[in-house]
Amino acid sequence: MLDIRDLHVRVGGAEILKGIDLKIGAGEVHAIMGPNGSGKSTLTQVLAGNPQYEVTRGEVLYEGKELLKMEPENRAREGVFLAFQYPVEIPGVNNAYFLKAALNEIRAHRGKPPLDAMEFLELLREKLKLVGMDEGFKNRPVNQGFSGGEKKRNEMLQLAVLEPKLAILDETDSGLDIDALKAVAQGVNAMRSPQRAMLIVTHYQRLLNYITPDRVHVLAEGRIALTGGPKLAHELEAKGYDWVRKQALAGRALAGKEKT
Amino acid sequence: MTPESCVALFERFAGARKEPEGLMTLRREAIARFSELGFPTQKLEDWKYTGLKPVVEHAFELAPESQALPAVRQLAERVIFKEALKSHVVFIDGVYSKELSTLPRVGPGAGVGSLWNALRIEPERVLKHLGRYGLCGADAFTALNTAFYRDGAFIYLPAGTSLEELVQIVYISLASSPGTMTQPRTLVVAEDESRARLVETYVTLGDGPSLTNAVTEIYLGPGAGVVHYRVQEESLTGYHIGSTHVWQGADSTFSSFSVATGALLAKTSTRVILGEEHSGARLMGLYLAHGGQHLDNQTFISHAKPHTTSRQLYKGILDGNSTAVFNGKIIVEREAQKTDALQKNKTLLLSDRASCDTRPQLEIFADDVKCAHGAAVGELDAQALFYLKSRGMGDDSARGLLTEGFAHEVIDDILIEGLKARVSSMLRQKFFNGGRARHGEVDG
Repeated sequence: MLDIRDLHVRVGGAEILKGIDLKIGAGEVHAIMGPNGSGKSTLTQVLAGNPQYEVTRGEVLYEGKELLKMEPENRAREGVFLAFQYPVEIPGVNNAYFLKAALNEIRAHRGKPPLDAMEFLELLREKLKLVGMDEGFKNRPVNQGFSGGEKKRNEMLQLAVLEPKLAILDETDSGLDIDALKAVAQGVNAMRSPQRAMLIVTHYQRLLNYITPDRVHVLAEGRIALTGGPKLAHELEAKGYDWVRKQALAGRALAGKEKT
Repeated sequence: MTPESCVALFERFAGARKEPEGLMTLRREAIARFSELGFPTQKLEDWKYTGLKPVVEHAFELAPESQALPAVRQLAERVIFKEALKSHVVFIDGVYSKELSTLPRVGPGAGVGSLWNALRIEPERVLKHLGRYGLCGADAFTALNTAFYRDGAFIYLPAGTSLEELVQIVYISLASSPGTMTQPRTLVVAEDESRARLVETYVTLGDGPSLTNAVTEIYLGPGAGVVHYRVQEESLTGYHIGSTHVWQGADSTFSSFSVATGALLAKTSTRVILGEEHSGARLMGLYLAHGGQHLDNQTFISHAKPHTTSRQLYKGILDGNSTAVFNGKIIVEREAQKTDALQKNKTLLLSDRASCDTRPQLEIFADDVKCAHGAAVGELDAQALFYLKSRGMGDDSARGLLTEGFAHEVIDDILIEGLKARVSSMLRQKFFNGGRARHGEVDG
């Protein structure tokens, strides 16, 4: 579904990603871990189309199409979704109104009729329940005055309503207490399906106690330094990221072998 | 138009009028004052960012008295809110239209209707208040209006009365060739403990050049409460000068909401004197400009006595190569201890050719006060725009939603559903219904 090839990205003059190769198939859940500043968030923002990031080399194929040539809104309409690490507060814009407008633009792109107010409300209620959110959130301005946990849940709500094919979660677990973490994991697990791929970016292993990924990649210094199965996350927790850096320096060949 | 031509015009106007003696004296004083002051130039603080050259270049004539043509009736029907269906006063080119007006039923001693009628029937009651408030004498356009007004709305609320219904005052300018000027005058007298909600709507029917020079005076006695909305949506070929002068007694509350979206060049000023203790004013504003429009918004609040409160929030949205001004002055007099004043102004620029001059001014002569102001001019937040797009919203709809969101802080303050809906639709129409493409052409 997603095929990232030799991706290089600059932000404000500095090269952050220095050649990322990554393949994710439909139905798979991949986790990307790595120390702060390794380029995890940059990768997610580039995939979603943030214009502040400059791709200097490489390409990304999404369902065979060149993702990097698509406008952000078209990526979303084609089924790409990014749960932001820092969801943006939008004063004056009603949460439900925004979500309905977004959903109906996506539906229009797919040749489906728009949902009317009643149909949407029904859908929204169901999804609010799924992510464990109070109904009151639907009429509040998007993310404004939300706690950290509420913002992350709101991202999960959007994910649940928009039903993307490729869901990218950027540190959705950071700043969450254990209940919120469980709720997020529950939402993610409920969304797992053979048609949907997920890319979960996280700094800590704890989210992966609740979501078992098919593959775990470790990002360091703008490259994927190590790839392994679900156990790799536990190994990292025990040994720390310095261990990966040393591994990466010792032999890039290891990562190369595991990737294929 | 020069001060001299205005004086000549006045002589012809005055010669044809039969008026109570007191009124004509007021008019003569006013034209003399105007002739002394002349049209304001940009050397004056209040007019620093607004040049009147395009206005002064026109030789405006006084509008002839007009009939309520079907098109006028349709326009009136379109702009009257459902909340005011049984309580509206309509003026055509500054002259009362009995045909188009529906006056509300009011309690004994109260009055809602034509100022000119009131002047003929009971000149003393009107002249006791007319031209007495605010800084009428120092303002050239207010003097010009005093010299020339034919009519306008007069609302009189005796002590303890409450107007149940919203009263809408509609000033229709016909803007017929070769270019006419109208000078409507509104007087609101709210005696002790009285209550009223009012809307002034300014619209134009035609597309010729026109000048509206409107003056509103509002007196609030002790404990009175007045909510005043002002909607200026005249045609984009006209000029609009609007001055509201408010004087507040003890414990009175005045709430104003000014929407400016019409006219090629407009200046709307609201001047409030918190004249007695524990009086409070709340001034909200929204200005929407595109193409080559220039919208100037001025507020002036004088905290004259202790324990007075003022709150101001003005927001603007500018597109095309439009320009806007926010000029807000707060004066806290020496005597006015425990004053609490807050002023905010935010302008959103949708185009890199639009610009806004914002000029908050605080002059504080008392030492125990709480005063704050803030001003910001900026573009749509790039991060927010990306966030909305990442959810599938197209560029236009994402910008539209953010722009509406920006305006909501003030729109949500409108308590009249009909007006709220009208402002929301004006906003969408102006910036997002093919409007951008349309004035893109105008801009060349």
